[in-house]
Amino acid sequence: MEVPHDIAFEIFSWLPAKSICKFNSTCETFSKFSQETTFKTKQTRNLLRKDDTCFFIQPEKTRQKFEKRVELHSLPKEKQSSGVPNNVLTFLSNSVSVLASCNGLVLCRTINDDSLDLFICNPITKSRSSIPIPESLQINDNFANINIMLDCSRSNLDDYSVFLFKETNFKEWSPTYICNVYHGEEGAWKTMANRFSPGGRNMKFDMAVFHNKAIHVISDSAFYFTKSSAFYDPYIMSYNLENGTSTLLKLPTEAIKDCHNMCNMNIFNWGKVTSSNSSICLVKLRDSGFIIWILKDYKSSSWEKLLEVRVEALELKEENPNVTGFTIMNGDLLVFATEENVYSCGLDNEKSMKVEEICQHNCGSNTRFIAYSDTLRSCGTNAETMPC
Amino acid sequence: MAQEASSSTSSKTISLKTGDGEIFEIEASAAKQMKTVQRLIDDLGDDITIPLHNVFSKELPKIIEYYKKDITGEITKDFEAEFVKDLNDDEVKVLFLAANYLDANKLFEFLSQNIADRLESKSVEYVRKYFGVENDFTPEEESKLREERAWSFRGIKEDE
Repeated sequence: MEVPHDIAFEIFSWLPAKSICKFNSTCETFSKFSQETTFKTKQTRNLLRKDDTCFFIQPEKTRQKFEKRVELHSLPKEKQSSGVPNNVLTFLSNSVSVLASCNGLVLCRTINDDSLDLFICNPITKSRSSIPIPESLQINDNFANINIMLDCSRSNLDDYSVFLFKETNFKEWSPTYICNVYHGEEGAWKTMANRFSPGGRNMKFDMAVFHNKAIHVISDSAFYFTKSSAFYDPYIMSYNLENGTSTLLKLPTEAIKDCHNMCNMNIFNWGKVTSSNSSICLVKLRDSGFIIWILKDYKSSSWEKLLEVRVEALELKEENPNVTGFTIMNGDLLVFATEENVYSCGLDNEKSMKVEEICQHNCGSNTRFIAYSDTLRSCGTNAETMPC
Repeated sequence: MAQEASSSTSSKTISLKTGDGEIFEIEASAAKQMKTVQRLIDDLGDDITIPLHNVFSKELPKIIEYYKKDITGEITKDFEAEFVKDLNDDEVKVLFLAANYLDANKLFEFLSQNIADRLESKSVEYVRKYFGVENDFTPEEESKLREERAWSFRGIKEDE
């Protein structure tokens, strides 16, 4: 039974980009779909409603300058259908550090220069668009941390926003940050009127979470304040993107206990971003054990513990696994790395947590995860072709 | 033919006749979700049996089942998963084409996604057969495509 071509167009627009590329070989008409703007827009919009299927894994930022490496792996069920061309991955691996990814766009920083050189790219369509850095935001040190995040508009698929937080008030104990926002479609930087005041602690800007129209960052938990300080305990600070107010969110009491030493705490989106009960989760890794809390009530900072699990109970391949990095993907899947392997652990049923081995990796300790979904999203009208 | 002023549509049922002559009843509010049916009702009135030449008795009950759940707001991810669980790829295709004919948007979109999920890791040949298309590339065009897309062919599932 033949299916009209405009219907095949509909079905194909729900496929991840790698599968679409494969089916370009079906027949001539189908091979033209991915060149049409309406198709690319439809596919981009459709995939916004689906889960991320892959993740980038990279070594710690300071190591990456010497050990250039960007790996991309697909989640177990997606190995055949989602991914990025090898030659593009090799090109990225040799020249960039991936900073963020959203709806198929990847924010990169070239690591061959000392100055800050940023661009947005789509590894599937091989297009890239440079992000100009004004003099005031330029930094000339490759090792310096840049506090940067990417958000892709869900309503305007031609637009994206890059947030860059620049520290000011260096002499004070509680530095403030100026928030600069680059709008992709307009191609211009704007500065937010109110500064971000995250208190006295160092903040983990590269683990920022977008939620409730605000950017949330968790502080570190090292021991460098006395008990009398307001910032003795680690906390989350949110920065409202509409009015620029900074608000402190408390962490659960059990999380704060024993957190000053050998403890790694990070926040992630919890639940599907499109659902009404999406929230934030807190993952604490300490002493080879994970504890996860969900934020139940935003206004009162009340958390509920989801589960607690020892790494050895997960029965991994290695004998004495040491967790080197972790993330929560799609609001419900724990993905973590040991020195050599990457595993996923389903969190929807605490009685039977399904652990799967995903792949091996060569990114050493302190691995960084960035989720990715292969779409045909546009990089903007001034996009160029990537040289690979 | 005089048309009665429709009172509460929730209790009103419409009769549908499939291409193979069977008659099924649906609620008027469910019929509203199928634009083709609604158009026929607007033209022919809601008291006569609406003929659906391109939909058959195998698939119409399933479609009615879907929209019964839709009008009570009970369509969940679990329901949708159950709904297609026992259907093979060809059965889903028939259902999908019927939803297209009936202009039943919600079901059409759900089935598009479901078919895409099923086809994701299948082979190019399987997809050709599925859509009833021929390989109309020249051998040179095709090998050029395969070279360019070699990465996307990795890991193809055995066709069932």
